[in-house]
Amino acid sequence: MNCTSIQESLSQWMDGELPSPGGAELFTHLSACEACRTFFKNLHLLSHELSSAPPQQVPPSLDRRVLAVNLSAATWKRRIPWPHPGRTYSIRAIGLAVLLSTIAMGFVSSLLYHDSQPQQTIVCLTPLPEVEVTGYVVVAPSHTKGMSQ
Amino acid sequence: MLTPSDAELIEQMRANNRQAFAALYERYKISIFRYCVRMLGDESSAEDATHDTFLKLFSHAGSLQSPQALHGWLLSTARNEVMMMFRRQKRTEPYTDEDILTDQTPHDLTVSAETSEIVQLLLRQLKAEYREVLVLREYDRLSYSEIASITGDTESSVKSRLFKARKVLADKLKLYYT
Repeated sequence: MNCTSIQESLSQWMDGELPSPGGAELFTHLSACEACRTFFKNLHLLSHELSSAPPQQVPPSLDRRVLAVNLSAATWKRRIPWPHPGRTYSIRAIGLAVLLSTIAMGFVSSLLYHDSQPQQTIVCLTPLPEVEVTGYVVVAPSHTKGMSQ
Repeated sequence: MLTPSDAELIEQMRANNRQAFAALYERYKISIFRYCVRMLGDESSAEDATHDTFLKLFSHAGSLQSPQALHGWLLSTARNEVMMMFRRQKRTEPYTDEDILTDQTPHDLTVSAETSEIVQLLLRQLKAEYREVLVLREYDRLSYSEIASITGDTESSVKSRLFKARKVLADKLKLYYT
């Protein structure tokens, strides 16, 4: 291991995150390397100075601002478990899904209803020029064949 | 009497218990405010970020998925607030490592400051991405995996940034004391 990887391991060791077999090699290297010993010493100094900083004071104005919030006015998004375990859906999302499904089903069923209507037929018994029909198929009786349009 | 857990206090908050919210605020205000101060560098902005963080707790209490991991959630929310402020102030990269000693010589600083002040000064001059892992590790004693879940990085990236931050600071400290 070179000095950089040793120093990286020292940083991990200080955090208690070095895998256990790494320790022995680390300290063997330290006993022989002045640069890494200095790094280790400064690492300790740094950690000590950071952790021994005076406790953070929270300004009273922050306490007042945060604690003044109106609890009853909170718009909490309550969630319910359904239908898959481990997943939750907001009531608002479920409501929207139901609404959209209803609209879609209504639209589709109206199309189906429209298409399923039997085609209406009018048998024309009078001479065609006197009849005004729109939207229907006009079938002229056999005796008027040749007059239909 | 047993101290109520975070999950119990969240449940009480959902029942409009104001004292539960106040108890959670008391429990975490120092950690969140300290993180914001260390990241933003001034108490006024840190106060705003902390305030907004706890307001988010307030409005999301009903939908928190893991109330037992509340501290991490608060730090993660505070981090988002801090990043938003950086973006607003166009301060994505306030300093670079190379800027650390440009204004004051080591001698000036050692004459005028205690070690802890020098360390704090050096910490403030680190890039935000390096400073935050050091703050979360040294002040909040979070593990690499906890830091990774807050910053959205891998543990290996946290380990690497932590080492680099310490290396820079340790090397600078060496200049002051040798």
